[in-house]
Parts: sequence; C-alpha cells; structure tokens
Amino acid sequence: MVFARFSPGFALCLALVIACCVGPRAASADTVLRFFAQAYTPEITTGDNPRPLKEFTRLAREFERLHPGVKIEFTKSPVGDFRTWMRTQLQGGMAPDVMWSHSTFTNEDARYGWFVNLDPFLEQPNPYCPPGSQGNKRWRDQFYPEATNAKRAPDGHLYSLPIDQVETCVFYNKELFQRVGAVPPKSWAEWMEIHRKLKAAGVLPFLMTGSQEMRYTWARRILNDQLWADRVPEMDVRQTEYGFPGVDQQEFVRAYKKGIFSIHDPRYSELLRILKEWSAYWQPGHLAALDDRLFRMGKVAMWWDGSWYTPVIRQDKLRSFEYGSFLVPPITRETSPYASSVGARGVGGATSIQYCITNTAMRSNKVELCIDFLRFITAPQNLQPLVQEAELFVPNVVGLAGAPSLNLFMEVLRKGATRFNGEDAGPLYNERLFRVLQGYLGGEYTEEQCLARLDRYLAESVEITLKDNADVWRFDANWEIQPPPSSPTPAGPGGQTPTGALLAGAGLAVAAGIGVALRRPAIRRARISYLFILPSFILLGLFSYYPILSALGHAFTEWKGNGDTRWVGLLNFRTMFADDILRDSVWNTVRLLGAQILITLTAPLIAAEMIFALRKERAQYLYRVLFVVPMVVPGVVILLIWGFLYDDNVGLLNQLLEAVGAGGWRQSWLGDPRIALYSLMFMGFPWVGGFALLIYYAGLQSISGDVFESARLDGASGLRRFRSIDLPLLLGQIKLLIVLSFIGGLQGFQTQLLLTNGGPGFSTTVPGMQLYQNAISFDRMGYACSIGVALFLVILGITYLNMKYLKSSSEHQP
Amino acid sequence: MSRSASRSPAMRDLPIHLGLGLLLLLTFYPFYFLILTSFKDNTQFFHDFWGFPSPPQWDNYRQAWEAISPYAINSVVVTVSTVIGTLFVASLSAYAFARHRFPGRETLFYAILALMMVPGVLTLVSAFMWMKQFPLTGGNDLWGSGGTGLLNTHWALVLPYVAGGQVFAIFILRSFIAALPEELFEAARLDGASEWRLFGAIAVPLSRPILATVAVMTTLSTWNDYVWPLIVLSEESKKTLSIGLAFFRGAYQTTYGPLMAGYVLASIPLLLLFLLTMRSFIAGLTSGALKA
Repeated sequence: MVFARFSPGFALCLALVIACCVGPRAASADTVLRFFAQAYTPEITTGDNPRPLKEFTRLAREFERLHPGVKIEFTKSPVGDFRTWMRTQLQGGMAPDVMWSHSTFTNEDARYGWFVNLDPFLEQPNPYCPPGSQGNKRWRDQFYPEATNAKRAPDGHLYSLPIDQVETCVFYNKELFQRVGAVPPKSWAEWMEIHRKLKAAGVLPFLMTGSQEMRYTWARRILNDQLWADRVPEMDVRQTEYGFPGVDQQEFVRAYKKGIFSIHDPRYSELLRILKEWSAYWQPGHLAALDDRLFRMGKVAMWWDGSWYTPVIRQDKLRSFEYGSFLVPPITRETSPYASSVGARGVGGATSIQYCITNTAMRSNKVELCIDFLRFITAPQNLQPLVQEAELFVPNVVGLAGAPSLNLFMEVLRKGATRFNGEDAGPLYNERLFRVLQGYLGGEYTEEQCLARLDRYLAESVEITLKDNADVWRFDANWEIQPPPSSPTPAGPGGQTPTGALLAGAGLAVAAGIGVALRRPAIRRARISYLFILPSFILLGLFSYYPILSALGHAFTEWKGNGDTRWVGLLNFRTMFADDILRDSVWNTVRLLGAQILITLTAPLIAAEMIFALRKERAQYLYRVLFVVPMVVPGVVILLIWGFLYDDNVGLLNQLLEAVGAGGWRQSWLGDPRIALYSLMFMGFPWVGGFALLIYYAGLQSISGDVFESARLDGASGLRRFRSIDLPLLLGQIKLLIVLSFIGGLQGFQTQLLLTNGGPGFSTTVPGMQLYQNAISFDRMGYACSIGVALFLVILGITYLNMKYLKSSSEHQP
Repeated sequence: MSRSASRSPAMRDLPIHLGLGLLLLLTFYPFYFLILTSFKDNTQFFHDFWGFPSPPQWDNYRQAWEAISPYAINSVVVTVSTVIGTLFVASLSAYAFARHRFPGRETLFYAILALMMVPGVLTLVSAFMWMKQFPLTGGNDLWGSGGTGLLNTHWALVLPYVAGGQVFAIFILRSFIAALPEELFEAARLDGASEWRLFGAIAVPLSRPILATVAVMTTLSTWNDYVWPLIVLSEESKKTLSIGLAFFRGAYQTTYGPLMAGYVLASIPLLLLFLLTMRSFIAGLTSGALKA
C-alpha cells in the first residue's frame, strides 16, 4: 500500500521538501529599489485610479537611465488592512525600501527605529532642482514648511516626506441652495443659518458619515484650532530649528500636565455644543452612514470631502444638479465667545501622500539611493506632472500648481496647518474619543457622562504616551520640556528571540519524551496509532501550538510592535477587569450569542423539517442542493447588502415600512445605539445556513422510520411528534451546532468591522474586536494576548459545560 | 393526518413548497444583488442600488478579469495543495482516533479540538514572525536568522492552512469513520491486512462522501482568505486572487462594480466544484455522523 511506505517518513519528506524548495532567492545583478507609492502607483486599476496612471513609470525609467544598474519596482499592495500589513512587514524586515504610510502610523512606530530620519538629508541640496532654485541650495526649502513640519514624530525628527497636500471643502448642490436663496457662507453662523433654512424647506442639509472617524477628526481640528487660539502661545513653547508653529504631542502632554488643557475647560464644552447643534442638521442615521450616495442622488444639500472627490463628482453621469464648493467657514463671536480672529485654517495636510525610507533599505545599504530617488521625484519639473495626473491632491512644493480642477484647494497652501488639533494622546485615545463623541451625538451620553469618560480615558492615554516616549522626552518637575537626551536616535530593531533554538530545544524535549514513553509496553504496542497521528501533530506543533503558546506567554508581558517584551505579571489581567469598554463588549457578545443560538435552534431546523416532510425524494434533494449553493457567496458581499438594506434614507427596510404605511416605524437601524445590536442580530434573515440545515436534515434522516410509524399509530403528530421524538433524537446535532455557534460567535468580529466598527458609541463592539484593535491599532499586543487567553478559557469552559450538561440530559433517551 | 392523506401528495406538499420557495428566495437575494451590482459602475451603484443597470457595464468583467487573472493560478495551487494536505493528514489522524485504542487518545483528541477555540487574530503577528524565522528555509540558518524563512513562498500559506484546517476536518471525519461497521475491518484483519491497508483500502474509500465535504469546506475557507496572504506574500508572482480583488477598494474610493464582478468570477470555480461534488458533499454532511 502506498501509505504504508509513505506515512512513516512523512515528517522527514516534508522537512526535506521544504528545505529544497525554499532555497535562497537568486541574487540579481541590478540593485532593485522596491517602492510602495499608494495612490500614485502606476499601471494598475484601483478604486482611487480607475484609469491606470502612467507618470511614475516614466519617472522611474528616466531615473534608471540616469543610474545604470538600478531598477525601480513598484510594489502593488492594496490598502485594506494596511496597519496589519505595515506592522508585520516592518517587524519582519520585509517592507518595501520606500513606502507610503499614514504619517500617524509612521510617527507611532518611529521609536522602533524602522524609518530613516530625513532631516540631515533635507539640509543638503537637491541636485535635480534647476540651478538657482531654492531646492538646489537646500532640499528642505522646496517644501511648504508648516505642512511638512506638522508631520514630525514625537522625537522631533521628520521620518516621512509629504509630496502633496490635501484639503477638504464642502461640495454643495447649487439647485438646493438656490431654492432657499443661499450663497456660500462667510462664517459658521451664516453656515448654520443656511442649514436651518434648508431644513425648514424640507431639504436634508448636510451629509455626515458618522460611522467613520475621519470627518469627526476634521471637525475637531478646525474647531479646536479656533477655540483654543488664545492659549496656543502658552502651549506652543518649544522653539527648535524645525519647530512648526503649533502644538506637538510633547507640548500637548505638557499642557495637559500643567492644567493648561483640560477636558473640563469651558472651551471643550463649547466644542461639544457646536458639534451637537450642527448634528441636528445631519441626515437621519448619520451615525451609520458610510458614503456619499445621498449627495449624488440630490437628496442632501452638502457633502464634506477631500480634494480627491473633485473628479468623482464631476464624472458622475447620473448627477442631475450643478455643484459648487467652498471651504468650511470660520466660527465668529456670534457662534462662540471663544472664537478667535483666526480664520479657519482648514484641515491642512491630514492625509496627503508621504513617503518614508524603511529598515529594509537601511539593512541593504540603499538609503542613499532611496534619498536620491526621492530627490528626483520631488524636483519641481518631475513632481508637478505626477501630482497633476492623479488629480487627487495639490503639490507640497512651493510654486507648483495642482490640477486646474483643484484650484480652490491651492488656498490651503497659503493658509498653513492648524496650530492646535485638540487632544493628542495616541491611537487608543483617538478611537475612544471617536466612540464617545458618537455616543454623545447619538444621545447615549449626556454632556457630563461624555466629559467624565473622556477625562478618564485621556488620563490613562497620556500615561501610556509618556511611557512610550520615555526615551526621547524629558520633563522637569514642573512638566517643563527639557532638551532630549544626547543620543536621540532610537535603538534599532529589537532583538528577536532565537526561535530556531527554542524550537530545537522543544524538539529535543519531545523526542526524549517519546523515547521514555516508548519504554512503556502499552505505548509500544500502540505505536502504529501514534504514527497515524504523527503528521497532524508535527503540523500542529509547528504552526498552531507554537504560535499559540507564544501568545499565551505574551499575555503576561508588555509586548511592543517591534517585538520587545517586558514581563509584567498579571498587570494585563488587572487592566482587563478595569476596562469598561471590554465589559460593554462582553455584555454585547452575550446578547448576540443568545440570539444566535436561538436562531441556530430554530430557523435551519424548521427548514429541515419542511424538507423532510416532503414526499418526493427528488424534491428533497433539490431543496438541499439549492440551500447549500449560496455558501459560495463571500461573507463581505452579504454584509455590504445588509448595509444597504439597513440604510436610513434609501434602505429597503425603511422604504418597505413607508410603502405599507408604517412610516412611523422607520428606524435608524445601525445608527441608533439602542437598536444597532438588534439589527446585527437580525442580519442574515431568514438565517437558513446550508451547513446547519444539512446537519439537522441528517439527524432527521437517521431517525428510523419505525419510530415515526409508531408515533403515528400513537396519534402523535405535528408539534407533539416534534417535541417528543424529533427534538430528543436530534440532541447530538443541536449540541454540535450550539458548540460551533459559541466558538464562532465569541471569536467573530467581521460583521462589526465591516458594518458598524463597534459603534455607535460602544453599542456593538465585541471582545474579538477589542482584541484585534489592541493588537493591531493600539500597539498593545500583550494586552491583546491576555484578552485572547481569557476568551479561549471562556470558550473552553462553556464548551465543556455544554458537552457535559447536554450529555447527562440525553442519557435517558429511548 | 388522516384527512390530509386523502388528498394527493402533490397537493399536500404545496404549502411546504411555498414556504421553502419563499425561504429560498430570501436566501438567494445576495446572489442576485451580487450579479446585479457586478454590471454597474459606481454612478449606477450609488444612484440606484436596487435597480437594474442600464446600460450594463460589461467592462467591469474585463477589469475584474485583468485584476485577478495574474493571481488565479496561485490561488488554485494554494487551494488544491491545502485540500490535499488537509485530507491526507486529517484522515490519518481521524482513522486512528476513530478505530484505535491507545493511551492518551482522549487527551490528544481534545488537545486538537481545543484549537478550534483559539481566536485567529491572537496568533497573527507571532505566526508571521515564525514564518520569517522558520529554520533552514529561505536562507535561514538552523537558528532561524539570516533569511526570509517561509515568507514569500506558498508554503507559508499551505502549511498553516493545513495545520489549522485539519482540526475541524479531524473532528468530523472521526465521527464518520467511527460509525463505519466494525465487521468490515474485522474481516480484513482476519485476512491479515495491515493497519495501513485497513486505512487505505477500507476506511478511505468508504469515507469518500465525508472527504468531499471536508474538501469543499476547506476550499471555501482557503479560496477567499485575504489578510494572511496579504502579509506573507510580497512578490507579485506569488500573490493570490483575493489580493487582486482588494485593489478595487482604494484609500478614497471603492469601485463596487468591478469588485463584485471579481467576486462573481472568483466564485465560478467554487460553483463548479460544488456541482461536481454536490452529491458526495451532501451525502457526507447528511450521513448522520455529525453530532457532538
């Protein structure tokens, strides 16, 4: 038999095959520079560039001509799950040599030494600039200083080079504006007046995508910049050579510690009040809205978006209205006593394209080459066509023009960046702030509750930020900023544990254990059985147990993104018990699971009974096939459809209610914190999953015909038969499906990730999602591991109880 | 019962047909919208989500094909290897767990089952680093340093997929094989057949339906996986089609039509597989062996 010869040597074969096939890659004669250009990536159709761009290819070829032996290779990488991709690639040293990254992410990770400090290079000339131009003397002088310096990391260095700037503006429907006689406003008060008139005329004034953080961040930046303008001089104390006129993170922490900034400052209440008043004019269900569809359809008068939206709205063939655009107007004394005379600076430089040079380039000594390439592409004659072709942003180089359609946004280049954006205490706080704001605007929290939560979260996050930057920040006893330590460059990539050595040790231990075990006769006799399960356990040991044990161990550590770990004992578990959001998420999951189990116990079972009741064997088979086929539709598609079903304004559900005259029952299905969770439960209606259906059907089939026959003779039919025969005899199947529901339900967060992101507020978040966010977004891997371990223990416990309890009750079946 | 028996069977079944028909309609609408949307451009998608596209955008399919065709072959290679690997190791283990008595059997079986309860995200980062530091591969030395390990190879997909996928496979295969009649094995044993022969000549052929079930379910979970291929593969020539599809989701805009067209194209092989194995797949799932 072929297995007889193959299986014992399977492990060996596997190892050999791997070793042979995965040899080192052949070195190429060229020096290859891998470059991830994000939205400027040429020769590829993406959501952002439906027509592939060409300009970067031309530049790359020209650069290669100037540098024989160099090859520029554009990395094609989708932006979905970017943070996960970025963390792993950088930690593993697999990142492209030069890559786009969100500057927030770059600056969070800068302390790990993954990026090249660009400052020394920016002091030198850019030889590609025309002689006599500014950049030809000093590269730095090519760029707009404020927007560029706003990208500085907590240690004060610049790790990413922004090649363009982005600004936002309000796109408005000219027809709807004319209807109420409105013109683009000069002040916030005028703007609110337009909102009021539009609403009075029965028009939805403003489209807000409140399920995403982005527009809240924009609003906070613009409003904070104006509300706090008089206190900025007190906060912006550091005058360094590169310092930009604004409050950086270290200065914010100082201001917070010195009490200059406080959540309980009246300015903060002003911010909340202005937002709340404005939100009265947002479309119903704004907390769940995801996109601009209502504006395109002409149902909403205004839509706030970035410069990249210009070609999108212009090219919309079905648009039935003329549109215009204006920058968000400044607040005046009419709106708030704290309004400064400072005009709104706009969102300025929030998400423009910036490139950083990674540890990959450092390791292979390509930093100089990467710098050279960046200098080449930022030379004015090269950058202008590049930025213009994409028609997404305006160039961040002084004197260059953007695409003609983006002229309005050129104004931002003159205005400069915002001086104060509000609290700046890392990704954990940002996420919580966004959720709390959602809860506040959704009516879940009062102003007091909102402020109390924020106060607590901010205190916690400031401590985390201080700890994270302990190497580069110095304060004196009065929280005055001191010069940074003499060696500001952070340590290189953290030492990795020698996994090979660990594994070899484990392997030896296992081998020794097997050796000892084989001395026992019972085990020696059964050695053939062990050979059968050996391949499974080799694979499990290598690819399952090992990473899991590693995660288990890390639950007791503080584990940072670069792999550095520090033993902290039970601290993570203590944090877990104090984490009120985790507590909310557990309660959400309990309710979701309850619903899910109820559904698993009913819908597919009813369908199975119906199919089983059919007389024709052929018909039974056909139905089984038909119910199974939808399993091939990917889950994301189904979630997308439900997102549209639940939409407040164009969703089928609300339209249906309207059509049957039950318009009063219209709901904001995913946008109301009180019902979002129930909407998630209802998703997937009618819940007849092919898998569960077939399992129930199988159970019914295996009940012998005699049992049904005798039941019939006893006069038991319909519900009585179902209760006294089907149900007890299906207990095995029910048990299995319950266990599987538990396992899937406790771990899953896909639905939330795609539809609600856990919101509004914290109303739909689940532990799986908390785990994911802590691991990937908040750089709290150790804490994430402790959540994971807790989840595992809970699932294990419940499964055990389920098996045990349900077994004992089925013991006395006929 | 007696009253309804007097009517013809077709008439009696009619309400059931109606009920099931309605359920099917509701169960199939994602399909319907998937196809409908695949013929829209973004304008049509946003202006009229529920309506018919006019004119239909056939070009979406060209775009989708261009986006996934370079990667399709990789997906096939990875999925087929994963399925074969999973069936192989899982059936061996399942056979031993089902028909052998040996010390530690229960403990080891539960040690496998417990893996179903570990959240996947938990091990994402450590599993990635482990791929990178896998000894003696990709230029690594015995201690796992110096090279790129299994990263950028299809092994980094197939081996963890097989390791993880076999857990559920062992679980359902075991109960099926345990339900096979012992007389068959007894008779073969009397004829002097070895354990390997019992496995290869009796257990495997008789388990064909459940093996088909496992194969289909493994394919479903492997084919559309996104995050893991995204992080372990950086070379263009190695990537799988879910990555090709993800390009339609840009940083600022998503083009839904081509994306859905891509999903339609990507599910054609799955549909074919379903049609080819439907009889076995259903027979396997409805064998009655699937219970706790």
